[in-house]
Amino acid sequence: MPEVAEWERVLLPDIEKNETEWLAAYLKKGGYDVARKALDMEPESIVAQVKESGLRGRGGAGFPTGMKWSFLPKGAFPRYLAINADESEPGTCKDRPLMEQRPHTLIEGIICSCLAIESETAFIYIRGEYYKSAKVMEKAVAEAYAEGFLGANIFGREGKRVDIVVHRGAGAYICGEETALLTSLEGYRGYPKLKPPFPAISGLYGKPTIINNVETIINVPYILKNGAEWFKKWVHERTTGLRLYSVSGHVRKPGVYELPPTVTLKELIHDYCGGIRNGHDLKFVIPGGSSVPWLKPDQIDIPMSHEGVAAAGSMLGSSAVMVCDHTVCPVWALGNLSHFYKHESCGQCTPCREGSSWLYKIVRRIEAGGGQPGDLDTLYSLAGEGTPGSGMISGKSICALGDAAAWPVGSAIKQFREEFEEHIETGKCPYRERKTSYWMANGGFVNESFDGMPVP
Amino acid sequence: MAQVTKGPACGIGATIGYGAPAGKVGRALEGVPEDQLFTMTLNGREVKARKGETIMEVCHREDTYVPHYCWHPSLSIAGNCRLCLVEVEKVPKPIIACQTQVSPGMVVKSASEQAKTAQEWMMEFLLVNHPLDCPICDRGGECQLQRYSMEYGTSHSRMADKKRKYVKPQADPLIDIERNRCIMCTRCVRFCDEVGGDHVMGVFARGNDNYIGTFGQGPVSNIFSGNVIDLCPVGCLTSKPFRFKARVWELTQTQTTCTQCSSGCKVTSWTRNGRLYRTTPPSRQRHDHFTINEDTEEFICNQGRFGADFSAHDSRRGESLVRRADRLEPAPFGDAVARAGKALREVVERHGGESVAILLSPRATNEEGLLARKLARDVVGTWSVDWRANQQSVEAANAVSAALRVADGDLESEPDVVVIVNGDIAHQSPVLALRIQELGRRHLKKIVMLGHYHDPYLAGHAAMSFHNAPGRTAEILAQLAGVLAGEASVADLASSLGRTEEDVRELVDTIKSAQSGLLVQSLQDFDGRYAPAEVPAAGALRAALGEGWGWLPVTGERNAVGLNALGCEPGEHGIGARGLLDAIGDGRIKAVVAIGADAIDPLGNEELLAGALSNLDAFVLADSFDSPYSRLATVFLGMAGNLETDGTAFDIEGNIALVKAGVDPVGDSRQGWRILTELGRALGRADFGADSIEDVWTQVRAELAADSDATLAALELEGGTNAAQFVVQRPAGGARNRAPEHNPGNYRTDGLHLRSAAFEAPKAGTAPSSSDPASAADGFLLTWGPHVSGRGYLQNRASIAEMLLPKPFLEVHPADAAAIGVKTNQFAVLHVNGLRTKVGIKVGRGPARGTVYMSAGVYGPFDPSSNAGPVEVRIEPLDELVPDQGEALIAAESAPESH
Repeated sequence: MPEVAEWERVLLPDIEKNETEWLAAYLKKGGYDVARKALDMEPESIVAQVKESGLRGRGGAGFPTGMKWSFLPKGAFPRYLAINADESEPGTCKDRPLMEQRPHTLIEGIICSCLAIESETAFIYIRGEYYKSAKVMEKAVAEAYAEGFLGANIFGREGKRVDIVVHRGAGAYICGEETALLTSLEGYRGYPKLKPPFPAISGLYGKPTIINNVETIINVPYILKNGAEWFKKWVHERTTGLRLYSVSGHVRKPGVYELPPTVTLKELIHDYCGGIRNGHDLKFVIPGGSSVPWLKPDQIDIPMSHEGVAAAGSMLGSSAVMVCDHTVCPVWALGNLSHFYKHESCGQCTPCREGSSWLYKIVRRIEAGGGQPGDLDTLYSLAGEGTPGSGMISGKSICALGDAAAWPVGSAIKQFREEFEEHIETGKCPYRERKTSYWMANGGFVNESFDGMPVP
Repeated sequence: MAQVTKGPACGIGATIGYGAPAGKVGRALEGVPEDQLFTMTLNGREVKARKGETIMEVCHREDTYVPHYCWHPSLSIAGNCRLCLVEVEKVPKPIIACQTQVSPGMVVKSASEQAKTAQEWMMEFLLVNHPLDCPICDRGGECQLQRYSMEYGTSHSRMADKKRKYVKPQADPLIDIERNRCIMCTRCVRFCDEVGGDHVMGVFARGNDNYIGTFGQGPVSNIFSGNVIDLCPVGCLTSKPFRFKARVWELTQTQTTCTQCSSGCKVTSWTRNGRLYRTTPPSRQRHDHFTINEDTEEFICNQGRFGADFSAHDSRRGESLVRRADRLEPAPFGDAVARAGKALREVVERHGGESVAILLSPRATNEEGLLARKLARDVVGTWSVDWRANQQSVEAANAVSAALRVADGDLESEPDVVVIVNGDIAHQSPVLALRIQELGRRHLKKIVMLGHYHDPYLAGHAAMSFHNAPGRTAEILAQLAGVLAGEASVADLASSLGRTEEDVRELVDTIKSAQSGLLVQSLQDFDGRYAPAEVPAAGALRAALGEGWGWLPVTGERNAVGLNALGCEPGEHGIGARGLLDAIGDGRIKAVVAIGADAIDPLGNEELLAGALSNLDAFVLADSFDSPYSRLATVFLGMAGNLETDGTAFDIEGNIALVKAGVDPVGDSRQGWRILTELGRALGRADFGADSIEDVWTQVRAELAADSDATLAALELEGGTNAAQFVVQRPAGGARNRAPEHNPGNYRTDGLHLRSAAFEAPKAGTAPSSSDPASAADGFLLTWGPHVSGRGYLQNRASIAEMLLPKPFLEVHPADAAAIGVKTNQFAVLHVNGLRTKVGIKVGRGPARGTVYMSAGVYGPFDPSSNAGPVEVRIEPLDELVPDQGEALIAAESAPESH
């Protein structure tokens, strides 16, 4: 087991302290020096450095950040920067410590990014449930304004302006989808927009807009300070830089780990997180947030990079690793995930609205013992094989939530087909001793409201 | 030149649904610059397309039907039903046709295996929660979901679990909402946001629990709300008045035009056994039957949709009556006409032809108008024939006539700039306003608003608006004309308008730089009090605007243009409707023939009219109803109702359209043209009139467009396949464009300006803003205008007249409202000429500062138009709120009770 200290930890050296680094402390460490330096740089050269570093979006899709920035139409102003801090993907908990403990690093990152994309206004869209994050960010932004780091003429430089607006969401997962985030920010129902046009062309209030994850933006000052080559020290194929892995589930030491992309999933679980809890065996891993296909124990010896995980048939996503041991019924786990997606579907487009709840109804019915012989075929045709574009939902919806709802279903059935069939054949869940379920009493059909309210 | 314009033929084929609405979506490519055109492939065919078009628009033009629910040509693209998924080469997954723009060389396959599978899947999804209640659903037979299930869906559903269900809300008195059937296409929501303009519908809750509803659970308040019934592709929104009355395939459809206002919308009357069941926008042929087109862009207003059944009112009288010894006794039609002829002959012999007046309802067809005029001029020998009883003064009536005679504008040409002067046009001629709104919203034309009242419906789309005090509009228009002609300075106009010079210069530049434009002027505000001054001013402005511009004076009366063009007016020699009571009083008029009692009803209250009419030697009334007037008649001739009449009528833009009888006349009643023919013959002219409607039409055609040979059947092209196409163009050089008979200088204007002196124009350079103190905090000037659903002789007889009656609201400018401390939905006491009445307040930017606006005919006994003099009002706020209709319903409705 390698020592944890073997790796340089950039973003979270003080995480154990669990306290917020306010402005005074941050300045003592040389804070905002990079932002001052960036003032003298050409916007193009900042973009070029970020491009050179190979920084990829940390929100889930892993799109190269520098390339995203270069999509902005020339001469179109105003432009906006929206920071996606609506961290709602189940299992993901990396942006929260960043905002709560390193708010000024984020603000510095925002300033550098705004200078790079020539935007004067940035919005931080913080998940509604992240009350403390929002409070910390608000206070930190106020500190930065008071110090003259934000507002008109930042750092005393004539004509340079950066404003930051901290906005709290209202608790909808869909508002983490970048275009839904923008509609929500505009004051409308959080509905994803039709694409094209993409936000870089027509985003917030119809203006060119860049949307980046918190972790992505917080990396920018480090890249500008240490150079692109430094960032590329940690590299696996086209995934560069240290990244934060949120590990949850049945491991001894769950938490947020900052590691290079070369670390394997096996090392992450067994070395860093102390392995599976006592006396239990690993059953499956969800390697990148709840929407990605599941991996079995024999598939985990893979580097935790976009390419490494993709090679195993899953996705790195937001690098949120969820570990389940053999006490977990895969049908129950899938029902839990399906409930999440059907609950969080915005309801705008047909395949996701109808498909996500249909999936949930079938999976829950199977788990409750009411499975029918054709159910797995129906699930398969609805969700496909857990690959993009297959099935009735994936690739047909306005945004990717439809895909996210479908992928786990296809992969879960693929990985644990026998267990699903056992549920259907025996009419009960072997994982729990339940003689008569509520659903069985109702003829095996789901007869319960999704929110737990029985229907009269 | 009257000619029938034919649009592109509607192709009906195996894969084709409806023909594209002519000239709207998927516009023809003629005249598009070559550099904007390119070729692409659609289903193996090379087709031309224009830059910026979507796949759906190209498909529409190429007669290729792509299934869709949420897409509608008049509404913004939602892209949420996903039914229009098509295959595009080099794109890995199917993409939606409604939103994807075409590009050169694109290869689209709308019916490939991939596309069809995707469409089939979407249909299965939509049916997952849709109840299988077609047998009890009112949409059955014309349901898009039913149709697509057959054409694009699968024969069975794999859904085995319980379906989602909701509690049924009671939100709107006219529209029934059955949420279980909703497929969330959000057409209704977008319609209310974009066309209706009241933003009252919305999507509530999230995910599969979401549902449509109204904010505050109240009714859908806009005057076009009924259209959401047609827009709804499923049985979620259905018509309450029509619910459970009939199955649509049992009804007979008649392609006709609405008889209620000057918009003259094409409609389909759905009848059975002599009864009108419903009115809808024109139905279209699909395969072998006619049905509602869910993609229609021909929206109609609620009054036309729900208020057209007044002919079936309880007071309907089919037989004729003859007065014998102070009693009215039923008589066969022939006897009654003979008796009427005899009575009129006696009057003519004793007092001369000039002592007879013939009054026409403004809803009279061209055929009735022509025969009435001929009866007056050629048979009786009187100048006194008139249709303008709705105009509140002789001067106003003459102004309307003068304006209509020289009007030369229409919306068909899609003018670049629309200048609107005054007027609650949305409530006088609703669909005209809707089409002006479309110019601004969809075609990005500029709308400029002038005058003392700005239609709130259109104001939201206005690029510029300039208020002035009531009575000063003529002056402003004259100044604007002066500026355009280079004779007056922008500074003076700016100071008159109380706006900055930049603002006014922008206005002038906008008008000057426009290639084409339209001057829309409402003539009915304030009972036409200012029309005598404003019409000549607008005429002068029209002259200054020059080539490319048109002038469209607006009055709400149905066939004002036709009756005006046919000369159904007394001119300088005769006695018009507004002079009638005086003329009866001093004995100049001894006999009156009224075609439709609404030809005399607006002239005064019942008492006044009864007093005057009882002094007549002969009063011949042709009407459909028992009324106070029928009881005074010497002879009452039973006349066919609005759905029983054939003929033609013009809309306010000068387009002619067919009015077609859907049912036979009730009892012994006759159509108006037949009554006039028989009356002429009873007066001794055996050759008078005509024996068929086609013959009368020939006479009308000869007057209006001598060169034309259009038959009535030609007006109803292809059996009504495409109602939008039975349009005869405005007759250029015909009777319509004769020089006005009136010298505008002769208008009497003294005493017509109510408070122009007392009204101080805002100072130059001080644009009115909300921080200004109210200019008349102690007293306001009450302005008003007619409302198409307001109380009236015929409106009152609609079966759901009370539901259609607009909510009485007093509209107050925001700054004035702030000054006196009233808010929207607050009650206030209105002091008018010593009278007091309680009114609800609506804060809006319609009225100019210092004025308040209300729809006339809404308050019943208290009606502003009964006040002859200046109306100064005081508003006293009350601590009471107008009860929200929805609040009472909230208790009955709860969140969706799902699953």
